[in-house]
Amino acid sequence: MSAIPDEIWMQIMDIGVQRNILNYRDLSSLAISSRRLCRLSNHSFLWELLWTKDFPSDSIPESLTKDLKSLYKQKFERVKSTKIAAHKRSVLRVQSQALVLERECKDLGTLLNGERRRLNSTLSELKNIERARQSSVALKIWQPEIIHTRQQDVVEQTPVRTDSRIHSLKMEIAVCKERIERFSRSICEKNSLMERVKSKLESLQYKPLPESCISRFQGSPKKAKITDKRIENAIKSDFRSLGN
Amino acid sequence: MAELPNTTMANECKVKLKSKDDKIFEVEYAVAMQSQTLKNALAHTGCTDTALPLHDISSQILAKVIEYCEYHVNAANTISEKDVKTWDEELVKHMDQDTLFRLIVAAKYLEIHNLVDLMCKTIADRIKDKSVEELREIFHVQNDFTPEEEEQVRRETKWAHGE
Repeated sequence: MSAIPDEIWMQIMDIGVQRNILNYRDLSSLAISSRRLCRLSNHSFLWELLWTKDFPSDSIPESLTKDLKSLYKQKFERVKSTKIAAHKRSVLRVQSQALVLERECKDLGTLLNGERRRLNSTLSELKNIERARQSSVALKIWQPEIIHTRQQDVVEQTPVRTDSRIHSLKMEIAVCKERIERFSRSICEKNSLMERVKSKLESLQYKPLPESCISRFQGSPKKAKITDKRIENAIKSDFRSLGN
Repeated sequence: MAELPNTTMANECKVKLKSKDDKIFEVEYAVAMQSQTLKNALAHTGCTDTALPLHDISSQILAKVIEYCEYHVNAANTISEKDVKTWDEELVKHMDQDTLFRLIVAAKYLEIHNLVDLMCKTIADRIKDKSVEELREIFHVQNDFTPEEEEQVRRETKWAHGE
């Protein structure tokens, strides 16, 4: 560790941060390693540099403290809690989407069942009428007295003119079938939408936040000048504080 | 005041360097010029037959420095930037930490800016994403915190390691 002087450690960290190799986590790990690295990695100019990279649209606030590391930390934690809140809102939004879809599917299902029942009763009414009609045809061919009377009863039970009734029943059946198809299609669509919403919810909940709260845009890196002056000043202030 | 060697002399001038362990290395003038320190020294002495003593640089490290400078002098106009970068990476790829440290110190002393830059980047790459324990081991860092102090520092930096 005494292998390289402070000045060189500082230059390594400086270039590391400038070239987007080292981030806030790396500097913090260095800080825990030893007293010396703690002192070196805490230097304000490093954290100022990190700030300009990680929060480019926000200028460093006016503050009595010159401790850039703690200013950075405060900013970081604010950004993080904002992101967490936004994420929670997203999850809630998607969850309510899922609930709405569920309800809509249920309603459609009820309507679908209603149509099916109507279809069934219409079909059976149609069947009855056609049987009655066949019976009256049979009447014209066979005329045994007993059968004639029985069939007459059956025919007399149908109140409306047979032909027009049959026609309107057939219309009703067609409409029913069309509606059933429409409802089925809607239910299908809603189901696949539901699938998508459910999988989105899953992914949101499984991987809540990206690795780091900081999104660095890797455009062309800013060409920051390596000013040894900063390193020099940092080291000088170190010496002063060590009472050298 | 000694004259700066003119171009013809520059082409013929051979610079002698003596390592810590008294080994003599001879390099082309242009190669030596990669080092700001040597450049300044030679500006005073002119081309001389006396070896310039480099008290803090071992022959092993000096050899590596010369290897770097010679390659870069030759590569200047002939080899593509991409290939030079690849060569640089190969040079440092398997270097142990000790050598890296001694090399960066030498490069800094000799003021060979490209080499210092390369060394900084290489070491930074080795710091990246490492845990505290790994850092201590790789860089032979002595943990001189008391348990209480370490606990405090860890607490203060918890925000950075939270995720």
